[in-house]
Amino acid sequence: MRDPVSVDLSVRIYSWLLAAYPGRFRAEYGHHMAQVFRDSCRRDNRRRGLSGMTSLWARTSLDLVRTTVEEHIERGLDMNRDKFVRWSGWALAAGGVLFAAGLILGSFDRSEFDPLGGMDAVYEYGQAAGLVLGHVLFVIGLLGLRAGYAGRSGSLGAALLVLAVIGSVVSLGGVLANNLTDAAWQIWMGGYLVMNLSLAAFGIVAVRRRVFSRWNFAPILAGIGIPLLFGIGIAGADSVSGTAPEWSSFLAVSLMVVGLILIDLLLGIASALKRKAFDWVKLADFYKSSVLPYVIGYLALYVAIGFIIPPESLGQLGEPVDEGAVTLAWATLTLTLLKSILDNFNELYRGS
Amino acid sequence: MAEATSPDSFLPLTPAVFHILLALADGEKHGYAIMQEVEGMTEGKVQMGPGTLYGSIKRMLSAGLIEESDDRPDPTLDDERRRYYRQTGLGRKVLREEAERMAELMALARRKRVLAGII
Repeated sequence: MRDPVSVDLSVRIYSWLLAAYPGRFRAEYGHHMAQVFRDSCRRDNRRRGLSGMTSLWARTSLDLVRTTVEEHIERGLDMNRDKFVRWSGWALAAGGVLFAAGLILGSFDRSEFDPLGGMDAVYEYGQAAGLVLGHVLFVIGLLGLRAGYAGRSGSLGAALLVLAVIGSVVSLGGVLANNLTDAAWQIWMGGYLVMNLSLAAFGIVAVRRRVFSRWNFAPILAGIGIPLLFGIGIAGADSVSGTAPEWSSFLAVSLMVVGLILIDLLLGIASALKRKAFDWVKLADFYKSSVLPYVIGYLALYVAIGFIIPPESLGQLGEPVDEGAVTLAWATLTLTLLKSILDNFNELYRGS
Repeated sequence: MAEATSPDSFLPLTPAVFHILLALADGEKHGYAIMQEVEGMTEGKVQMGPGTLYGSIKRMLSAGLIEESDDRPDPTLDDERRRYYRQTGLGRKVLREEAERMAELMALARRKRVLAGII
């Protein structure tokens, strides 16, 4: 049976208006919405004629406007949230790199307490930019981590992520206010400590609950690794500017190398336990083949560089060249250890 | 995923979601039948438009409160392109908890004599 013209025309207009909805929603439900509207038109036209159709159109127009806006907002939020979570992981990693770069540049500044733009302006501005941008990216990365994974981390994990976000914001505030007040240093360190402790503790939750599909150890590493980097930067800056004894830099770098070796060792043991192939002989072999060469190599490079290129022999350039060479030795060892850690990660999570 | 979600986390329900769950309490229905049932239950006081109906259905499917059904009560009498929906176990629990929550509110209103002279 053919529908009256008023019903047919109404359904055509309504079907045309459905174009206002987001494409995916329209593709999924547009046909069914038009069908429901057609059924409603038939009923109201049969019962009350033109007044029924007018009333139906009034209700449906309001419904259309309201739900079109709702669907667009929901779609926009979903897309933005997904993108935000995806990019925030990269933001966190980039924040770590910038932060480390800032610290390394800062370690070449020989006059730590002069105003910005002094004799080592390049290093000072580089340090400031690295620290500030690094912290901004920490905040973004942690917000993304919370937005994407708080729901599956349980109440403790979610609370730790909130604490980490708060810590990163406080830490950023401390960095920004560093030249304004002496208390900024305490604010920075307080926020920084909260951020890293919370992140490391969240890592334990992540490992236990398998929050991510893999790399659940990463927050623990970040929570430990970032403070280690910071320690190195501070010790390096203090030794170059002459505010700390020379050996403090060596001690800090050594502690970091030992820390990386320990992380590498723990991952190696975890991987062996997973494969049910753990034994003490292999552990001894691991020390001999992987740990000892790092320690000997680092000590040898550190000592050899001092003898091969004595700072005094190069005049004004001596100290930067010496520091650069030691930094190179440190970076080589650190990268070697990081590669070993990544290999152990892959073995642990891929079973290859 | 949805089954692991606590029913409490959905409360309070929006009026549209509550009415749709209530309309599906006595069996599966397609969109227009849900709309008619809601209008009938509320004596015409609640009239959902197609946007509200299918926007709610989309969110309820995603939350695991309802699911699509392949069954047709009588295929010869019906358009085969119509989609039928029914409650899930979680949907039943959520509806029950929401009804209990409302009943508690009603009891409170009675104790406070808010409804004196009405009920």
